[in-house]
Amino acid sequence: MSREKSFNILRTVVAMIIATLVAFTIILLVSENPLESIKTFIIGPFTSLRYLGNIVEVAIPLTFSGLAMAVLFQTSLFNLGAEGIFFLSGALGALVSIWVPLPGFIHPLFAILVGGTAGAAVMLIPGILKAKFGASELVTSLMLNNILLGVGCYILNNVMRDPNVSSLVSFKFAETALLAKLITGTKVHTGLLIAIGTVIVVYIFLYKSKWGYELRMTGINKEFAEFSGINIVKVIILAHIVAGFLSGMGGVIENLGMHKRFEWTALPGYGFDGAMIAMLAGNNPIGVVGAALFVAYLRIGADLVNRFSDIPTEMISILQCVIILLISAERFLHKYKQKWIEKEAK
Amino acid sequence: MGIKQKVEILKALARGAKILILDEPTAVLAPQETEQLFKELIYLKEQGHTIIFISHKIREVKRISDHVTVMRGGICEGTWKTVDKTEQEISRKIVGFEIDTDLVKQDINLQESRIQVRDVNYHDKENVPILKDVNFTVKGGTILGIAGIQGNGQVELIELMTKSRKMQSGSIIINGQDIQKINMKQLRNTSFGYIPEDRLRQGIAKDATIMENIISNKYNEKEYCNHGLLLRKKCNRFANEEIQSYGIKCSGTGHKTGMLSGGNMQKVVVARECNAQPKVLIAEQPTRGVDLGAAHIIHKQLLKLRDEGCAILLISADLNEVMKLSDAIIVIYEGEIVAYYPEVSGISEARLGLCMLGVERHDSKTIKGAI
Repeated sequence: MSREKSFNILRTVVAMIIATLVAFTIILLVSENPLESIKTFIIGPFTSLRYLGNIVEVAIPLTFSGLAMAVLFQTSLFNLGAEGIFFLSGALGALVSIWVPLPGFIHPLFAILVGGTAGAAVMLIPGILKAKFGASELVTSLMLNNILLGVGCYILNNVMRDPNVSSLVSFKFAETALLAKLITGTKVHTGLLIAIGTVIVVYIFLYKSKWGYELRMTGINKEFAEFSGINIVKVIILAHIVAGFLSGMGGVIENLGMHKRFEWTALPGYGFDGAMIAMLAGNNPIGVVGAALFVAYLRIGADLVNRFSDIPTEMISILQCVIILLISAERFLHKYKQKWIEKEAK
Repeated sequence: MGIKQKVEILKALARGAKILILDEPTAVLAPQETEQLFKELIYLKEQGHTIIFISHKIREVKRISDHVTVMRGGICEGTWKTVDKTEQEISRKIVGFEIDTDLVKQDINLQESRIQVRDVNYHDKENVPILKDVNFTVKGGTILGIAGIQGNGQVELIELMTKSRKMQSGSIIINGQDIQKINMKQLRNTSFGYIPEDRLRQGIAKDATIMENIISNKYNEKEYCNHGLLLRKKCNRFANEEIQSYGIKCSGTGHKTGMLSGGNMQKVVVARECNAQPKVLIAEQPTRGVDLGAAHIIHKQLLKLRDEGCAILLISADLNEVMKLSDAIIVIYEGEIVAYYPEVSGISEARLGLCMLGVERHDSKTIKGAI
């Protein structure tokens, strides 16, 4: 491993530690029984199989959104459309799960395929606008999120709402569509296997294939890529399609794995979490797994603290902000970076 | 650039600087301008200013300095009184070994026309003409040097030739293809190489490894890519060969290119562009800011390509380089070809300088010889 790489890992760890320390400080200030709260926060998630399962369950959708964002970030595209796609693809996957009669195994796969394809198709909008007309993908994707939310809500309200239930939810998914549980005593579902497979595929795509090479070179230096004969327009569109497909998959898998009905009525937040996770992971697909598990662990810890002590779960948002701030700050620990790398030269 | 340089020096003086550090100040100046700068520097020295003059050009150092310090690989090789050392002695210290400053040039092995630039005119947004009726041809097996002070249309000409600017009139034919009708990939596929002036902008991807930078013009070939998957071992082996043969100082093929020194980065660029066996190569300031040893390797490589039948267009602000490598020279001034030398031997640097400054020009019949 190069010295620079190991430095980046070290930096990420330091950022995590600082964020955790911030959490402690907040707990100390707010809690009446700080020690007990901290203990719950840190050790709590490991105390039972169910909590461990919770971490994995939360990490599965985060992995998909993290992967989608990693692909975009590697191409230097700051597109946050994964958020809306999670929602819309989830709704479309729900439609398939409710009304398309298919045998088990094929049913969820088909639903995931539909969600993924829809995600890719939707991502084409900011993708083509960016590649052909230079429209900022950040702006178009953020606006698109609201449109997708509207479309998804329309489908839920007018097409698949179950009138027999008082709250705004869809009809029940067909039994054949649900993702099977993997571990009894938890809600960990086969989506985990799909996630692991996807991570490997995305890793190979990014680092071993020529398309990934084109994509990364474009991300690092667009002009260089252009002079090397890489077709930038194609690369930008490809990155969007892949990211859209990944987010779409995530949206459907989360629904079929964790829910019996489509229950989202607002944007679920996974898209934005994905940005943080990709950043934590240094945009590396393998790193995304670790980052997703870490964020999931924080969430479950916060949830437990919320349940068993007097600390509100909002604390975790503060924590996440601190982490993002430190990771995204290029110059954080910059002084030490030079020294660290120079050591190698000696 | 020349004017910017002057402004910088004036700015420093106006603020009452006692110490002037000049880093390669003459890289962008014509000989006459250099002469003028030197006069001013000597005057400043006599006024009691301290001047640190950093340069790759030994002749200038020899001419202007009282003491000379040689640095190589971050290590100080020593400080001497300038009068005590000859140019050869200083260059030996810089390179660390003897270089044959006289490159061996084989006889021209003339082949068909590879670059044809015809009636190219270009004007900018304010309708100011940048290029005026530029016409020239480069045949396989020759190096055509373009001499000229920076900012006289060279950059625009190259950008037209490399498709980063839209043509307004005229035509450029490279390897028999009208470049307006093909895209960059197709142009690359005609065996076209380009060593850009600004290596950081177009030449390399800083955050990518050396291997990734070196394969950027061949990752698509069957030898390195199978069913869309890159053959990592072959890529690394190839990159390693290049690192060896160019003497690129690094920790291996996985070294981040952005962490290399300028000279080593340039070697990466040259290694890549030259090893695709180009039939046409545009070399833009191929040795700017590069140490003498690396410059020598790059020069040798360019001559080797020429002997193999490549048509090379060489643009350099370093007159020495242009005269040393080229088989023929055109001089560009305010976007116009003002002089054409079909042979390099016997050109006096002073006359060339006068052409670059627009004082002298050849008659239109001689200039037509460039076509």
